[in-house]
Amino acid sequence: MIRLAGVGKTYEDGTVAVHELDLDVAAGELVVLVGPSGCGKSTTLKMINRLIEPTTGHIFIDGSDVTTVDPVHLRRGIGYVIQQIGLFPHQKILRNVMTVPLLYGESTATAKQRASELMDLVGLDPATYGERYPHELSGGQQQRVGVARALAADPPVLLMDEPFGAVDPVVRIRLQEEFLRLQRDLGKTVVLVTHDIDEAVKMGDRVAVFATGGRLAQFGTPAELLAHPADEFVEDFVGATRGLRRLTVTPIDRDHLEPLEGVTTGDLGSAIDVDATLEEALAAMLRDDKPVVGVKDGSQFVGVLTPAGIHRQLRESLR
Amino acid sequence: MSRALGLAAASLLLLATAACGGDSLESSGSDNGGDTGNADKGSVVVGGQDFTESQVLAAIYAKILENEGYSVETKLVTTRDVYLPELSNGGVDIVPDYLAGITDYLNTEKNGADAPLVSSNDADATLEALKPLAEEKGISILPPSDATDQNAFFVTKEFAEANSLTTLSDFAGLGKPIKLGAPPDCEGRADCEGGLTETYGFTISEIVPLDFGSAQVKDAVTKGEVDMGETGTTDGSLSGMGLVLLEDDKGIQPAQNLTPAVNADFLAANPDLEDVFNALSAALTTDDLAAMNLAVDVERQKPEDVAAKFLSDKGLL
Amino acid sequence: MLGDALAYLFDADNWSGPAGIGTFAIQQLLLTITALAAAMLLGLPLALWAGHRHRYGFLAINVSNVGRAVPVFAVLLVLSLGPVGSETFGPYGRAGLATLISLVLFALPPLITNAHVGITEVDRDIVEASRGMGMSEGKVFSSVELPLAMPVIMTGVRLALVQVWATATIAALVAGPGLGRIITRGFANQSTSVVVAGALLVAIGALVLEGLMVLAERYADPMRRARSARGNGPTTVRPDELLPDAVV
Repeated sequence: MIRLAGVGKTYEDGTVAVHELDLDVAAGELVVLVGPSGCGKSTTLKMINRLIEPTTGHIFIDGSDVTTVDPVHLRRGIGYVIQQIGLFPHQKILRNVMTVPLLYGESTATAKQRASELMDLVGLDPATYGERYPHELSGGQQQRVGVARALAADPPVLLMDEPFGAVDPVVRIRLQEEFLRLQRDLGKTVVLVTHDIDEAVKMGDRVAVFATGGRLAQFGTPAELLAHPADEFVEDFVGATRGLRRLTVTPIDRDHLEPLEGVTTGDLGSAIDVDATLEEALAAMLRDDKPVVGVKDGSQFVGVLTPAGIHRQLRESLR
Repeated sequence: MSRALGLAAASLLLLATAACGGDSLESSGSDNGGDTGNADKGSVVVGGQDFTESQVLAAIYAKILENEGYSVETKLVTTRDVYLPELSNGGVDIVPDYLAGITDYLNTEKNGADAPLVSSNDADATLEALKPLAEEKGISILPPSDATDQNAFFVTKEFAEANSLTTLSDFAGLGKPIKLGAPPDCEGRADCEGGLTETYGFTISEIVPLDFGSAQVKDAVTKGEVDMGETGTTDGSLSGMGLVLLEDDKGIQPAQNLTPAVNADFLAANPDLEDVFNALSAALTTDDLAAMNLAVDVERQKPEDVAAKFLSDKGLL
Repeated sequence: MLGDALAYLFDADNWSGPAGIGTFAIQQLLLTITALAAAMLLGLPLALWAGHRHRYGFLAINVSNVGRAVPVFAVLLVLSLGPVGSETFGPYGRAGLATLISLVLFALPPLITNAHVGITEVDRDIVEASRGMGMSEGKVFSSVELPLAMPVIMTGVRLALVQVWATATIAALVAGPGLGRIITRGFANQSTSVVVAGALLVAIGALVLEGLMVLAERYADPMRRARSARGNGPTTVRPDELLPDAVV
């Protein structure tokens, strides 16, 4: 859906913000650009909608080269969400969400209808919140509006620059989960920038790790990144706890569970679903202070997992 | 190190420019540092006002007195009501004043603001009215000079020559309505609109309110915006601008002859000074005043230098 | 003396006629509004454009510092005696053009500085968001930057208006129209009460204009309604609202 070919950014004074890179994002995929400050991830994101013009390379969206088209027109077809949200303080919430449809020349009635739908989608009742002003909403609520505003014209692509950075951790988790659900429902192609490796691993179908100085260090699934970091930088970046993190992205292998024979109900605490991740299995064990956790498919027990079994499954997932 | 140097240089520059401030040190009743030494006849305080002409005259008086062996201190103030009481009580010994000006002042002081005028175009009559008023205040009046600084009206030289005008009566005789450039209080005044219309028979269609003797009023006359403007008889800039005064032949202006006013006690103690100042008054003409004003205002010469040159030219030193 | 001044003002005869207070006040108003309008037409577009481009900030801010140091009357005198001349310029009286030019120059600094600062101070994140969602530069300016900068810009207009009104008094010094004529007349006739009366009129006029502008500012402020909207505070969670349902 999105393809960056040899795209790079060098400023007039010679600073290289982004080394020439190749990146592709499949339709409906959520790709996360992650890295420390000054690694060029935001710059790369902004080159996609040409808020920053690339100095080398081409950008293709849905097959067409957008490097030379009218940037204003391009941006209308791409949703854009930023950390500080940037709602217009002098307009009501509903009016904020209606911005892009109105730019397209849609009638007020149509735009209003669409905006209301989107507000429902992000979990804000338009009747309650539509007539309020941005300053009356909490940070989390405002960012929901930001997302609704970005989706108002039904763009195929969504760009997000540290969208959940300005809210507190509890709210952030909530927003992340709700957004993932939303993205799966709508099937939007999303490129998201963050500096938080946990967020990257949680949200991304694939993750691009940027190193300081604008270099793309590795581009792969979270599991690949955590299991096989490409170089020392990535290894440092994902951190010493990458083993633990891998548990969160590795699903339970139902074909290699440990047998139920010999396990009593007293041995078990709460059970987990077979579609859960290894992390949830271990977490359940530790929470219930039991040496095994039962794995169920629906109401049927299909096996158990012990810590050794989890370790084995993790090892196997490398291949 | 270089910062301290820079600061020192800046301070020095500041002091230097302050010192070059020139003659801007007058203030009400404060000294002007015009002290001289080597006196055997005692000290004298010369008073005056801080406009150019007065400064020049005060400088002339001071030099004459120094020449006679006095040590002189000069005090220049803003208005007559500041120096006149000093003249009465001896704080100031001598002042170059104007005949009708000092007469009007003492008259209104004694008889009230609405008292009928005792000054007029007739210098002798005005002097007669002045003397008793002055004596009451302990002031002696020395014989006035023929040099005057009074209001006068001017037109362009071109216009005067074309119509053979030398006096105001000549102009009035042309019979045309005129536009006048004069200060806003001109209307009704005997020495301005009142006198021009009643005594001379001018028809004044409009008075454009422009300041007395200002660059603006001269510009307006030159450009033809007004036919006639008001300035002083000692305005030295006129001929250079192609402007010329018309004589006040019917005498609507009160006599403003240059008149030395002296503290009575001081004069009694120094009677020889009367002859000295009479010589000065005889030698001084209106044209001299005009030339000296021009030298200070336009050529930026110092009043002291201008005074010295005048005195040596006239052989009074 | 204040009593005499007030007596002068309350005397109905002084208000009527071609040399009356009423005429002079209207003349001064005409001078003021013309000069202000001209200055706004001249200065605002440039300043707003420069602010939008985030350039020439140093110039825009320092033009006010320099402008304050310029003696308006000296400029007026030089212009009226020099190139512009002192011809009667319609209802603006003698040396009307020179007076207008001087007043326009005087009005420009606060207009320029405030317009520039107003635009550049608009929250950069909001501007970036608006650009990112596909607004053209013109739309960013007209829909986002200008409305949000309006309070600061209007303050500049208010400052300029009151300053120009007060300074238009100097037109009388070149025999032009306006309330300054009352003051010069008072000076010439050595009537302090008339001088004070003239000064009072100018001061009262300034206050009235200031008051009107404050109202106009309030009306033109697009955040007016937003600010007054209190609504339910963001952190209010009513006791009967179940936490899982609360949208955070």
